[in-house]
Amino acid sequence: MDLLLLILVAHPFAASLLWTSYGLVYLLSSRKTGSRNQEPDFDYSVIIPFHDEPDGALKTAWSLVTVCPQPQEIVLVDDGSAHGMPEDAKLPPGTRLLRLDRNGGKARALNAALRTLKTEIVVCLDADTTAISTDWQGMLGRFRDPAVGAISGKIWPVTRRGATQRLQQLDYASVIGLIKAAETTWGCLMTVSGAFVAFRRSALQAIGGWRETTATEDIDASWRLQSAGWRLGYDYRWIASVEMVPTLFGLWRQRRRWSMGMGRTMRDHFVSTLKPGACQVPVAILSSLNIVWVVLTLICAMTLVAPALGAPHPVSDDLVPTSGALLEYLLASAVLFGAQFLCAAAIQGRPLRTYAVLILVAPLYPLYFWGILYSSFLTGFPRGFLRQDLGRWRRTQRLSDPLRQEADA
Amino acid sequence: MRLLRRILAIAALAAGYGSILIGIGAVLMPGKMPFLSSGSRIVGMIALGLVSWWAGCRFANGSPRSVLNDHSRSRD
Repeated sequence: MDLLLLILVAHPFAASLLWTSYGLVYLLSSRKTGSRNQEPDFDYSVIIPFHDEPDGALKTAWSLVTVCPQPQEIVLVDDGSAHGMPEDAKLPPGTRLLRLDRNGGKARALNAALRTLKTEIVVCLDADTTAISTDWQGMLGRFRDPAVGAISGKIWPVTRRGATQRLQQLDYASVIGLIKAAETTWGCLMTVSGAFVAFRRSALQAIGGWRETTATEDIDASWRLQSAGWRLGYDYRWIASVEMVPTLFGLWRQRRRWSMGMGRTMRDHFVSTLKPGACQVPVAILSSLNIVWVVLTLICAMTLVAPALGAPHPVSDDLVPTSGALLEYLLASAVLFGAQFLCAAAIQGRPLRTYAVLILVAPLYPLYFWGILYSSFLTGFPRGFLRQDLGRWRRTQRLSDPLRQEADA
Repeated sequence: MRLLRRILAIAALAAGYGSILIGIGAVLMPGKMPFLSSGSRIVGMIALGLVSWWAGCRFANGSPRSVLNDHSRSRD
């Protein structure tokens, strides 16, 4: 009982402390890297799969024209779009359009493109992603280690309006990038960012490509690669921007899909963590503890709500926190999560004034956490755990969507 | 040998996380951990946890240097 109470109270702090401490280690270690040369290491190709988003895909492809070294080929994969790429669309040099006859999902589109490519490195970008870094030499250089199977890039969130996008920006700036940095020092990643990632083609082929019956092909591929002994890493200097989801419901659906993918991955690949050579032991342990914590908070909430519904009081009074203890808890939260934010900001490498607006929305973060992240996990994780995905494309909502729907009408 | 490394890794990671949890628990729930009554002991416990977690990662995956650095210098 005491152990469960300890996990319930202290787990978020323990996880935050691990991410912050090792985020700092990442920051200090990766800055030791020496000067970069401009000689290409490997040829690479780029895959941009899309469904009903030709403008976004084109914009992504055009963002690559300033990148150095240039990709050998860019493949735009139209996954059975109703609103596909126009015949007269102006494609960037070295770009090829691959049309698939039906909507079979992002993983199927990626696999179709992979089969046509010859380069050793394959970079995948979503159709809402825009390359910001022009020097890709550093990312390519990491593949000189033959054990490296994939490098995840840094996502810089683009926000145009509203608190919903600002909260996601806060999430990316203070949590997601920091976690990936910390995990890299542990020698593994929970997942690469499917929106901006480079894979070693032979590693992908060794695991049979992307799996088409999961809601999140990136989490699934990350765990299967690491189970097979491939190393994954995060490059905070290899940057792309992604537009944040504009509405709360769209965001909730996106996060539920991520949770479904996580549920499926835990079911299918957790045991393989114990295989000799599998790399993802630290993230598997922390993920399991996260799930234990979610279950404990749910039980705790139920026991607190039960008396209000007429059930007998199931917990003794000495377990109910006093106002002083709550204040202390809030103070400790502010100190530790403030430190986490500063460390994450240092990894992001932007001037602190960039975060001024984020500090204003930070008091809303608990609402975002419990209302979006927690509730989408509660519904998505069991669903993914119990059911296979249909392998259909679920487009993330964009700010331009209402305009297009109006145009269609 | 690989099995031993795996067992050591899991044990060190679990011990690391447990130490951090207990250290933080001593701050958040004073009186529940009488053996961690002073600040220095709490800091020591958390530091021990962080080191143990690091050791667990090294047992599991070896050095992370290959993915931390871009190796550009090695070719120069």
